[in-house]
Amino acid sequence: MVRKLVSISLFVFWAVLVSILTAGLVFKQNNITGDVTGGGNNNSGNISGGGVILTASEVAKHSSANDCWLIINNKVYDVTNFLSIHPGGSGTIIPFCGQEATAAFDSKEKNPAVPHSQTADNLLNQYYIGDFNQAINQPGNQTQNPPPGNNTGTPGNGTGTPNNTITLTPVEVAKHNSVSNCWLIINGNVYDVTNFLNSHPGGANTIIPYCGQEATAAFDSKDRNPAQPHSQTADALLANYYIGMLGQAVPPQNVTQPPPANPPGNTGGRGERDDD
Amino acid sequence: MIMNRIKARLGLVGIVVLTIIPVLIWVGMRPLDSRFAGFAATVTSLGEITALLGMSLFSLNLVLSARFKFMEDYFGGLDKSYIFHHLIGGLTFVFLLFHPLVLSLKYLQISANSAAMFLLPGASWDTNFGIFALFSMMLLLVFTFYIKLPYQNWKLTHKFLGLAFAFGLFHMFLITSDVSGSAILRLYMFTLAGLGVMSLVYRVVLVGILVEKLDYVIEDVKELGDEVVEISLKAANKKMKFSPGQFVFINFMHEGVGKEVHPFSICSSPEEEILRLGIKSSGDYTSRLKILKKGVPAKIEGPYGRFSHRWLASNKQVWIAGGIGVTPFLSMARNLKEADYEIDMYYCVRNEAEAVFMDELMVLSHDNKNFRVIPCFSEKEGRISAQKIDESSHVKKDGKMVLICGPLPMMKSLKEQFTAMGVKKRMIRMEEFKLL
Repeated sequence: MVRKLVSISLFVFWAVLVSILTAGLVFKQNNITGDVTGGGNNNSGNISGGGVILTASEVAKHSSANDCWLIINNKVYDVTNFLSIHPGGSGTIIPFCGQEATAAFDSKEKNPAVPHSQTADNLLNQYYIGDFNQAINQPGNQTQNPPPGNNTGTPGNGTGTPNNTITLTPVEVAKHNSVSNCWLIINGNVYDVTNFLNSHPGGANTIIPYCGQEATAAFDSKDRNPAQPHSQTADALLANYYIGMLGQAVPPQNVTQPPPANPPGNTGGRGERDDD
Repeated sequence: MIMNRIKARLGLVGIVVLTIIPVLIWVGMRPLDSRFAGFAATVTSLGEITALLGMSLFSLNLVLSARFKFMEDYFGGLDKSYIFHHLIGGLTFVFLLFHPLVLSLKYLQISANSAAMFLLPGASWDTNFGIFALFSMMLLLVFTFYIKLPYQNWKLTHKFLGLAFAFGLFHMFLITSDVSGSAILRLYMFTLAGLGVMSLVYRVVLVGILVEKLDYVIEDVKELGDEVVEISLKAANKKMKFSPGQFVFINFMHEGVGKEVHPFSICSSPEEEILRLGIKSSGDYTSRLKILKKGVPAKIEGPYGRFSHRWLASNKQVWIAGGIGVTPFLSMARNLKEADYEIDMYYCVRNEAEAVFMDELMVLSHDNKNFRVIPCFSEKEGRISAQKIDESSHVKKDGKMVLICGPLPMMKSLKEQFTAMGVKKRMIRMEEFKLL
């Protein structure tokens, strides 16, 4: 019986391994030298070919969790689709979206500096768009497939300059003020914490009163006296829900639309669990 | 008796608990929802869980393989612990196979190429060691599960799994993970691994120094029938203390036979000056034993085994011996002086020529009216059945304990027949000869 289990597992292992190796090595994509092999690599409908120069202000347009470019060692990378897979968490990258990130990348922001591994360097190359202050490279070098499960609306549009945008004004934020659609303003950043409410260790009810509003003080103190700050883990978790900065224009894709005039205060949460 | 039965389960319970603990620690590290929120998080979590389970089981399996005497009571005998070792080994391998596989799925979100790069060795030693560990394990286990080697050669390949374990340890040490990020999880995993390493060193490296082996010398080698040889040995210094039914690991200092270590049941009584082993030639090693002569030295380690008429709930017993499985019963029969045992012994072989110990058993039976020996020759009467035994010995009616030792298919079949008749499982005790 043990042998049967081992045999089945070995079969599955080799089947999957061979498939991945074949697909990954034979149909090679995202080669750093720009040598695009295999078929269908053109990410059509994206940035109009060759015309855009990767200046600092151009890169700065891609500065949110839904559209994140980084400048590292004078090369520009679109790491939008990588954020959720980053072993160090998306929260460590997001603050650098749209900006120069070489020092942060080379040190992992630690002292003494901790460099990234070769594997990480290779991975980064998959997201290369072009050289800093140069024209964008062939479109084929951009990320191919939008990650499954992410509701990116228009296909292949994970990286382009969005046409319709939503500006994160306080008025806009206030529209998302219910348990089924809950935005918070914390430290000048806007977060869509709708999907987090049920996981909040302090319970959904501690957050819901602040949906659609300024919540910095509440977050920094957990509404306690004396103030009880959140942990670093919590800060990192929060970053996963970042939409953009207050006042910023963001693409509408991953933004859940507010339902028509739904009365707030309907808990639907996990129950009255108090903080420890 | 009940205490012993509870004790015999504790070993397995302990293994299960020690394997689950790191998973519980891992669960406590972050809210569970965040662990399974989305595809990437879920496969990462599965990858982490398989690693924790696999590494824990691997470490514990190494401890099991060291055959520490004190652990026998917690598994109900060494033969049982080897069965667990085999099962746990298989499970370990399965978990570790799925560990990198599941993690690679995460990279499929980026591209098939990055998933392929993740699975191949490259410039990162943290993952390289993991790949080496898994593939060395895979290669070595081919000889355990699929390709049959001569016993001594197989044993060597099996010992090299220690190297696979070492690679796995380097991998666990270097990789950035929940283990590296949590002091308590790191402490736990490396402590378990440390126990595994120490057990390996004890049994493989320092065996000459740390494991007690008694010096014996061959007194006589008798060939019984075509296939059986009875070797009689005398202690050079300290005599081995054992209970009837137990077995030992022995190796002979003889170039022609080979110095490899093998387990054999003792067929003499503990009171005798001479230690006797009854061995059937079933493989290349055992076939060579007949060339041994008086004066050849040997080393004996033991005794092991929890198969004995003395440790049973009832003194009314049925012994069923199949072929060379008669050897432990010989030891018990030769020790059966007390009149307060009531034994029916079925000596089952194919034909009379194979019943090499029949004469001696008949003498013992003649001297003890409570010890009945019933021969069964499968060529004449067909295979022995639980039905026939019950008709003659009233197993169920008298609440008798059943001891069986013989070829595995025979033991399994008889056990099934007895339980189908309503005999409780705990009334049946089998001794597994084949430790592999």
